[in-house]
Amino acid sequence: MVYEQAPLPYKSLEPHYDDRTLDVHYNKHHTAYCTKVNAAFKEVGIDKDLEYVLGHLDEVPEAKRQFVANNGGGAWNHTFFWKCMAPESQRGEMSAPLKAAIDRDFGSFEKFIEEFSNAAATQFGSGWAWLVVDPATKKLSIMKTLNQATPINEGKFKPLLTIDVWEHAYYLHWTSDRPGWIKTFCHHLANWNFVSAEFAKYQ
Amino acid sequence: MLSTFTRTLFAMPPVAYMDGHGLDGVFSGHQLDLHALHHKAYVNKLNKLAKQVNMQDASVEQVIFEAANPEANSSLAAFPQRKQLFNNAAQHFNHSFFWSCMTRNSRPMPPSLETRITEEFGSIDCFKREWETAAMQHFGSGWCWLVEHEGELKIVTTSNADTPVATLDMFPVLCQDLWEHAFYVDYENRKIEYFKKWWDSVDWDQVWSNVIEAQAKASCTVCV
Repeated sequence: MVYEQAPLPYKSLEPHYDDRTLDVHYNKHHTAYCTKVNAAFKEVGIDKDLEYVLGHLDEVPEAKRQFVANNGGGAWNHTFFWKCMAPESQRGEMSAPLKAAIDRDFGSFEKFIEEFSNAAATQFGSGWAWLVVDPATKKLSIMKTLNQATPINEGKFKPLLTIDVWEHAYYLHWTSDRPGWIKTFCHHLANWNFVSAEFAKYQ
Repeated sequence: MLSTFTRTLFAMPPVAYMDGHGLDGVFSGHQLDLHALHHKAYVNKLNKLAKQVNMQDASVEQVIFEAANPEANSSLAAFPQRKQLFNNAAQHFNHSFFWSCMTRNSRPMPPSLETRITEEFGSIDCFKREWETAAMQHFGSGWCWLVEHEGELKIVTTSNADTPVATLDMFPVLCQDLWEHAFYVDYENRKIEYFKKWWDSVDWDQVWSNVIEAQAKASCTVCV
């Protein structure tokens, strides 16, 4: 099955995410992951959808498994990431049920942001930080993943929000200031409408 | 040498070509200035953490080895920030080594190094293409190394802060920083351009000197 790289949900995220980074990030990094995972799928005859494959990597021939994990993870993670951001005026607010869950599981919105930000700041090397939900218990928690690993690899936790902390995600504008990128993401880019809608799926 | 004298703080070594003028078209002055900030941040964290385990007078290689091999230092084994200590010590070493492998106005390979590389890889070109391939195929942050190991020169890549000096039998002679912060301002996503251009800045005289030192260490059974 060919994984289609969906168009970006917006033309620009200025002034909080610069257009040059958005262009290179989407058209070079994300596109390359999609191209490579599709080539791998064709090569080894994988016919299932990407999300299934990432949750069942043991079904991929061993010689290609890490390549599929890396590039398929990159393809999937970035698609999710674009949806986790929106132009500032379109981000909306957390829904009441999500806000209640955040307060219950983190203590407050501020404490959630602090824990999410800390995970993003301390993911050494390249990777992602996530807000996830366990559908079995409905509990929210924070995860971080290395490189292009993703919560859907194990399948227990469902992603609700992610931030890309590979240096390519922020370096042109923020250079070494990863905390600055994280703060801008949390306060000016995070798409609470999307996060709330994802959360609602597991209620 | 990083470990031949005592000092109270780890510090980024002086780097002659970090004068704002860039490095032979390989790196702009701005890229190098930004990269120095990363190195200094690792050094600052290393100094804070090393004091907590009374290793501020150790060599960086000793900190790396003991943080990576807890059986070598039992009090370090119990240190809750042992991984962070390793990461910052290793990144300090790795960056210092990286700077030392480059120079302005680099000269051609000394004949002795050319002979050795040709013996091991078939030709200089084969060596460079093998290096570029390894660097391109490495996923995520890390480093590309030429190491002296069991009497041979080998190309290996390591992830994140991992480094050959965490072992007893791999001796680095050349390295290249694959972390995106090393090249993103000058090259963005165009990694192969970075890998191909980088050869213009390599200090092959230093590399040969590293080979001699590695051979001496490899044959020394009592030195630590």
